[in-house]
Amino acid sequence: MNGIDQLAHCSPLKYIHPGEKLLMTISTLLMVISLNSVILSGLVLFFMTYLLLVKGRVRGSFYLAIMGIPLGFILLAGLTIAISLGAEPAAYLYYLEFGTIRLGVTPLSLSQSGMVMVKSLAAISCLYFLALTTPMTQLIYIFRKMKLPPVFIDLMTVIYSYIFLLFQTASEIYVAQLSRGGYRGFRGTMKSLAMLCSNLLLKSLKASEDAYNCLASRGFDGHFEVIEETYQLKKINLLAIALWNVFLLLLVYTGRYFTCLQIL
Amino acid sequence: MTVTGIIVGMHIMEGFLPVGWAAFWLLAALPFVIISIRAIDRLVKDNSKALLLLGFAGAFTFVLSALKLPSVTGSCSHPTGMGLGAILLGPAVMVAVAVIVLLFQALLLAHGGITTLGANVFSMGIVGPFVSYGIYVLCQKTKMHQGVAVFLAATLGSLATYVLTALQLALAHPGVDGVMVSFAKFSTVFAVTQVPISIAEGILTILVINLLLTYSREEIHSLRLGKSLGGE
Repeated sequence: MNGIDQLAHCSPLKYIHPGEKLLMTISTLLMVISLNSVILSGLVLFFMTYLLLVKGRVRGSFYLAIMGIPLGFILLAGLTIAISLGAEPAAYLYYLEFGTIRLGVTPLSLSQSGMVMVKSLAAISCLYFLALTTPMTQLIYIFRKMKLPPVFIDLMTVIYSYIFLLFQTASEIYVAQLSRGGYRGFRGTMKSLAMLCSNLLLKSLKASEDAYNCLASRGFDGHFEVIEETYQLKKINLLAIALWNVFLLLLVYTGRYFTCLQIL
Repeated sequence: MTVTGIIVGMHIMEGFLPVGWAAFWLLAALPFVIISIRAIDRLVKDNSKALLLLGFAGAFTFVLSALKLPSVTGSCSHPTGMGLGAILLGPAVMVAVAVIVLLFQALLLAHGGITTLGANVFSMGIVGPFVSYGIYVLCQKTKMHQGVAVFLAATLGSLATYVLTALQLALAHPGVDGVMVSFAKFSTVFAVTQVPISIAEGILTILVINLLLTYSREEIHSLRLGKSLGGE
């Protein structure tokens, strides 16, 4: 895996109340996806990156590398939006003609595509803010406080606990297969993969059996009772989040009102 | 990870859906999620082992999507786990598992997102598994060869997921040409990777199920997993 989880566990921002971090993330995300503004998206991207790099002490090279993960999708989907079919020839900046179909870019399709890509980048920086400062255990804590169904939270706990064990197992199987000439050609790849999947599945079943026996011998009745860490809600942080959102709203609306320079 | 490796997941990335569509898909997925959680709750009350079993099914699905395998193998990403899970465990319980897996994928792997969670759950956690399961049951009714049934279930489930994702993107971004043209654009672009991958996934699922039935029929059946699989 790519190390996001480890960083979250070591983040200097770890001990901030997870509710505050979640609120910051969700509210900013909503701003980004509901107010179509390049300036706002750019500002969010900048500020979240600042928070992560300076306050969260994330290495710049690591941040750039993980920003690259979603890039494939963003570029592909962005390109798809940028290409327009069947507009009037005059509307195109540039087009190719295939029989009756015109494939090309228009100023409108280009600006829509750019908008969506910028918004997505800003939103992804918000996602990373949550992912790199809030370990999953804190998220589970906040879900418990939000009174989500206990069985759902228990399921989350089990899945999170065993992801790393199974990942380790799968990686070891993969290396073992490679060192014995697995994954050669299409047929070989399919065969090796099928073996990996079925073995991993069986190992998962076995591990779940073992885990159940362990828990059952300690009086498990379908519920996990854990000692929770306690976090302090800070009024100043809540105020800062509120101000940040008001600032974003003001920025967009005054910008639109005074300059009449609407961005889309 | 290679670019193909990223796209095969076909998760709609964070920020790609405007707030209206994000809310729409969230609300559309919600009833299924609630029903699924209730089903799991009943199962766990009945036998607390079910919690561990579903937990491991979820962890298994997640790990398949997290492995950095060579390019063809992007096929063994998330949907495979879902198709397999739907056939082995039934689609109803898989919905809640999918919610958790998709949330973890967004936060731990940066595949997908929080605001697009509803849309991704709908396409990968609801439509895909239900189509897989429906086709599997239908094929069994017609006494079709089991391998064919598994292949069709996994392949068509994966294709359904991909078509729905293209539709979700088209609805959110009709552009200047309208939803239909936009859908044609998205489905064409994604078909390049998704059609071969769906077929590879079908083949893979047959191989996996054959291996399981050959070497560990007992384990599969002892866990009441295999009630929909042929045999005892």
